[in-house]
Amino acid sequence: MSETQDRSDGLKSRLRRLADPADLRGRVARLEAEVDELQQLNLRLAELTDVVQELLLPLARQDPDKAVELLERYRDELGT
Amino acid sequence: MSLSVDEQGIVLGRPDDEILDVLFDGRRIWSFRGAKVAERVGGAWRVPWPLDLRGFLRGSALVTVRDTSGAVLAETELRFGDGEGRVSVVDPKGLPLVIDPGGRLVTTFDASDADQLRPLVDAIELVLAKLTSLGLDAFPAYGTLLGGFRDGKLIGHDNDADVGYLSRHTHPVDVIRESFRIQRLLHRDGLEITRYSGGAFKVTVRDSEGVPRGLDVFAGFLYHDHLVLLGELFTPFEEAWLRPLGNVELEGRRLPAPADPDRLLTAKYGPSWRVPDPTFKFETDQRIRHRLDVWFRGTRTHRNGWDRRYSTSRHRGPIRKPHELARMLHRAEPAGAAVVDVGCGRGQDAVWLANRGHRVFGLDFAPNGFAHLRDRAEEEGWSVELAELNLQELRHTFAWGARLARVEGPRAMLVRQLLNATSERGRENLWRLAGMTLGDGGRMYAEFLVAPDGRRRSYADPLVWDLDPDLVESEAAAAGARVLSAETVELDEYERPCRTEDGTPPYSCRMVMEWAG
Repeated sequence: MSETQDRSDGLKSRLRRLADPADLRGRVARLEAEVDELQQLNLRLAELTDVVQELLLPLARQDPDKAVELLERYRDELGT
Repeated sequence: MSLSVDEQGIVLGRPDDEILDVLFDGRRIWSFRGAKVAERVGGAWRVPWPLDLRGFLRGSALVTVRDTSGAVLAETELRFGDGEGRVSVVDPKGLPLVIDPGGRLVTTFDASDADQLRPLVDAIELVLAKLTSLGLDAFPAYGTLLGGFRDGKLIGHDNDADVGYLSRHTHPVDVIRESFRIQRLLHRDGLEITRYSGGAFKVTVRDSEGVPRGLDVFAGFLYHDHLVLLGELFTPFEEAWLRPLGNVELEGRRLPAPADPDRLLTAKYGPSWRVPDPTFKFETDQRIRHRLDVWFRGTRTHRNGWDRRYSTSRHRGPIRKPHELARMLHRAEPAGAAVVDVGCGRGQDAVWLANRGHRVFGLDFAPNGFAHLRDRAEEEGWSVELAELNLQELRHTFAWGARLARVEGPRAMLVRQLLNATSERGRENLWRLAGMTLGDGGRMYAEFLVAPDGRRRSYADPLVWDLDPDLVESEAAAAGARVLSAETVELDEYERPCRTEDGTPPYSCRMVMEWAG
């Protein structure tokens, strides 16, 4: 009986905490910050993928002259 | 409506939402809505002259205020200050300027005839053709689309052109990569490009008078029943409203257009998009702006401020005297060592070092700052390369890091008033660049503003701020460097990047760090 009572009390306290507006606001703010952090990875990932795709091939072909030429062109085409 | 004008601006009886045009000697200079800009001053509603216009207000002008029907509401001959002659609101080349809805002075299309604008319309066609050849649905967007559907012309009070395209992709990462690729292809066609964000860039086109005109190229994509169109739209949308594309006439050319242009124009300008409004300024919803910011932006922090600071720098050279940090580097480094001046600003330290036998790279994200000395360096054959590096873009950092890593001989890096002027992303990439450049062994000479008494200073120019030396030291350690020396010095007028608000002297920390190799 007491075990059931304990479980019920624990559940009630958890529900109270879940429904507490202040607690909810804090959790939403944390979640939003985490989502922002993840979404900011989009640009970095795109930049990384672009560098790898554009420059990896000549390196893989072990053609250093071509790699340098491509690197120069890649930098030149970045604009400002 | 009772209304009058005087040397301070316009006095309204009762501000309302009507659009009013202000003309100087018969030429429209500015348009506004009283309800949006009037201020209550001493019992009257006043609209002060826009800040950017005030510098031009010297001399006399017949000032007219009229409504959109052309009815004159006030007309007065005014004399501003003690200037002689007529007020002349023109750029250094004599081209007429107008205040845009953001309060900036611009050269609007109505100051140009069709011949003058032909290079811009040619560029619109070229960009649309290139995008179409890549299998993308591309169309004039925003104001350019509006002008086409309103009367087949670029809007007179507009000053740049817009092109949009619908990406095949639906994830921001792929949309950004596609935009990078398009930029490369347009660059190969000889176009001059400046990137705004991961999904938008500007092509600069000179019209026949040499006026630089912006052609903005915006990525669009469908995302959960919405159209995302850089730089501002995130709106419920159906694919069929966009494709298959229809047509629009613009300046005598037949160009592709969204299938149902009303949908796109209403999303941007509201249902009354057919009625001209020179005061229109799109206010992006905060949540949408935030979403687009975290997806695509963060690579141009403070760039507009630096561009403004250097806006006239191309025409006048800096004082050709080195800063103390450059002297320190020269005294300590071997003769002929290669030097990378990151955040070189006007470029005077880079040139001074080059003229003392160093091979120098002067890099900065605001090219107007060093443009003057770059031209001189070419003429004089100095051993200095002044070029653009945007530390907030990872691609710039990698591409320059790879280049600098291949430079022969000892290397050093000069980093003056940069750590305290760039974003966190910029600092992170600076350490990355330093690791790539100096990782084999080399020293960095850094200088940044500090608050030695613990009291943060307020600087007259918000582009710089104080930094904690402990933070710099810990970031350097994480990048593989150790601090050899650090000293705090009071800065004189020449050494300071700007004055403090309260007139107290600014201080810098000069820190030398070493990568052991």
